[in-house]
Amino acid sequence: MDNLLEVSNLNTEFKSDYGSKQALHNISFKIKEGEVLALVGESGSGKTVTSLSIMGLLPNNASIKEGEIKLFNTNKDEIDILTLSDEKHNEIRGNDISMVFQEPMTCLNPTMTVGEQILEVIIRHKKISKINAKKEMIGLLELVEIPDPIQRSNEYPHQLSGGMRQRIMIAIALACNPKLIIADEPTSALDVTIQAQLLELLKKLKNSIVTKTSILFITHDLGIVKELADRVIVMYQGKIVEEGNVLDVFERPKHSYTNNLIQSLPEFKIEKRNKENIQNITKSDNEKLILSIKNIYKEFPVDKGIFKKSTETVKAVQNVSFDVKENKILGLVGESGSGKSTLGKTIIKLIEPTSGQINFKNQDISGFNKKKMQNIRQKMQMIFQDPFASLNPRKNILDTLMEPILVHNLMKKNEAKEYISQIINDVGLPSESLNRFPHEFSGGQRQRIGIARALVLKPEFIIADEPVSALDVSIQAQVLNLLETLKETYNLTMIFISHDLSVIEYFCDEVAVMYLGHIVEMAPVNKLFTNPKHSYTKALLSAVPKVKTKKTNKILIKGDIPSPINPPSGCVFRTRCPNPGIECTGGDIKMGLVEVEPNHWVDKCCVKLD
Amino acid sequence: MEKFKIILKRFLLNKGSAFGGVFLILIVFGAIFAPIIAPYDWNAVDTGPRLSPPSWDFLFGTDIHGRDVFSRIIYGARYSLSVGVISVLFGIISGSIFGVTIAYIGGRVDIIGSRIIDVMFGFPSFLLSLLVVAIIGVGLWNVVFAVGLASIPHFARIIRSAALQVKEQPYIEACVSLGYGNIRIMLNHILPNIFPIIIVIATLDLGGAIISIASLSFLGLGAQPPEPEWGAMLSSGREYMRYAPWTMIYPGLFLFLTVMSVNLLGDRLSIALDARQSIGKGKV
Repeated sequence: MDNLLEVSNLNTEFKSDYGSKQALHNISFKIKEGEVLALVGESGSGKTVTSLSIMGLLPNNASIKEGEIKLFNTNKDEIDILTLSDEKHNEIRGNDISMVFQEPMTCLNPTMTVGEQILEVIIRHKKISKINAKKEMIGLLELVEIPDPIQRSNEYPHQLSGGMRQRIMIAIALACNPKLIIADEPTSALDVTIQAQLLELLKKLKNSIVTKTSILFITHDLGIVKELADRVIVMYQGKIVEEGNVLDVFERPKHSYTNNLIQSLPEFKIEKRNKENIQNITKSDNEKLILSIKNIYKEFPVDKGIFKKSTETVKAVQNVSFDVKENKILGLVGESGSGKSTLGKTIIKLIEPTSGQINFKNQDISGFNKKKMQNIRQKMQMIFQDPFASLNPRKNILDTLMEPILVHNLMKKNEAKEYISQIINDVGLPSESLNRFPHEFSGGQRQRIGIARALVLKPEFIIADEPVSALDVSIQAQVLNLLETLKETYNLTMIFISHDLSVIEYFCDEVAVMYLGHIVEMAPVNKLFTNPKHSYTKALLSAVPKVKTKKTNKILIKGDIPSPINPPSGCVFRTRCPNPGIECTGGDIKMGLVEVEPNHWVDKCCVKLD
Repeated sequence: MEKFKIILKRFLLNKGSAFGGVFLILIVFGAIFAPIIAPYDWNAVDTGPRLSPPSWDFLFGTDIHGRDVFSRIIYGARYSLSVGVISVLFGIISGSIFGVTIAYIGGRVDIIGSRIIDVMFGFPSFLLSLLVVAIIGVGLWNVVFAVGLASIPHFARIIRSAALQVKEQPYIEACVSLGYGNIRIMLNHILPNIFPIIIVIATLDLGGAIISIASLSFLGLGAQPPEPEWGAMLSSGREYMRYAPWTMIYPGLFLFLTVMSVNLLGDRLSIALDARQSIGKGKV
């Protein structure tokens, strides 16, 4: 195969008020025709800067100090991208190289129909008549597997779901049969099931396109790399640390950074843990209940003006009941919009439940008012998802950790100081950090502070709402390790909310799978991951791209999550179920869990199918 | 500290804000050390010939009573600056309390509070101050109160929207989950995060407040003769404008320069603090 793009010795630099910083150091690589090259690295490693350098889309304060980027076009002419005029560069963008961005909503023009946006690209670059262009546009929409392409092309971006929008972006990128598509984290903003659909599409395109389009795929997800890419480049702090065939790199990583990256994946950690101590399971079966919730509902009215009464409600949580035993970790997993965060917040009454019972330590707190809750809050704490927004930027760490102690009158100020510096050491930060402000810390360190804040009141129960999903893989592993040790030392009971199944598998004792406000399956971790019963759980499990296991047949589920304002009648999952029965569609079917094996609960609808 | 230096640098490199800063420092300095700097007593009559033009003895001339205009202007700075600051302080404190409270409580309280602001906005603020003065009577401090009161809706509206943004931040949710009371959350967590905005809008409003108070004094509703308030000086100089323009020009000029300096400073301050971007994100 011939080379399509050659990047050699690329050095890119950023200037700011604080001086200049080199973002790329001597980056050199080649992309061959028809190949999928993955660029992997953590945030700040220079993946995106590399792609922007190729596209000539660097921000104004960035400059390329040194290096060459050569593109070989259809006639095998050698084009030096960096020396092109803006006009010539525009010709290349779209014609020879096109790009798919991470956030499809902000990259589409909200005032134009998606069809017009695709047409614009075709007409601009191919200079053909509108009728022909329209035919081509419909063809493209069919290519990216958009159902009802003619009708869809007349819709505006906001009328489409995230997955659909990303398909449109791909259609735009494909519009002029480019030689190279740069895809910058195209699936990171999407749910696993939607991501699986898109990856399947990309795989099909990769195998079917006769024009030998190459893809430069930028991602932080090693599972996707394994599934899609031919070759992989690992970047770290603006340098290429490893390059090679996907299989080689994953099986025999040469650089220690790559090795660490792979070893810090939850799937590897699970394997390692299983090898080390199997007796972990024999931990005493303490049956003391900390939390027991019964028939929790949460419905938000949809506002329609001040005076009109709202008739519709968002059914965020529907009839959820479960128990959490002392020293156990219950994982809540589901796609976005499944109601898992709402449920978490309802349990500690940051949101009032519409109905239902919340028994916390044999006390029904569902009816407690704000005053009464304030005392109970000491015993139940929360760890938040976004480590950047969950700390008050104007308080230093000491104040942030001191305030709760003083509010709850736990100890005197001088005692508290000692206690706080012990806690901050426990979460792995030096005592000196107490005098600093949140913006002086990295994301992982901030999350440690968030954890310390949750621990400072000596709670018995913690809800962790996606505590690691905003972090890079290696940081994720560190924070998970930390939570694990803290759980032992502080005797914690937890609800761990996550969309990431492998994190749940690594960290939790029990799992509840949520879909559209309902729990559809609940079981101990081992059972759920080895023997899933509900078709949604099966689909979720197979949608996660993994590095270790070879997937043979994926269970793909169609379409998107229905709106929680108008959930499907009968079984809520029936619209996406791979094998729905007639009985699922009936309106008389009520959702509800049935115990199929000891401690393994599955929604009625799917039990019948088996 | 690094960030503070950058803000200072951005600030001093701008000609407008540098001029405003220097002039204001001079004025404040003059106001504080008025007894030392002023060549004459501000209220001493017949220190020189009546309505004498500017000369080396009387830098800005004398007025109809033979009082030194320069001395009166220097003493007048005390009035104009302090009344402006006090009325803005009154307005911003009340506006902050009102705005933060309705934003934090939300729901119906917010809707009703916002409508009250809207109704108050319906009146031009100068008219509102006139109305208040008409009710509570004439006098410099009444005017200060009236102008402060009239500025509340403006402050409250901006602060409400800023507080709404901060309220949605997860760290406020974290405060609730830690069991903090409402007042603690408002005072300790929301207010500090909208402080840059408060400073900027207060500074930007200071010039307007000084002008409004001077205008009301000019109309004879505020400072009463012989007080050397600039607006009142303008008013009493009005009759002699044709043959002794210096009795009006100099108070007017100082009023103009002071207000302009304050506005230049406020304008630059809002850019330097980048208030809009820094809400709740701690970028300052």
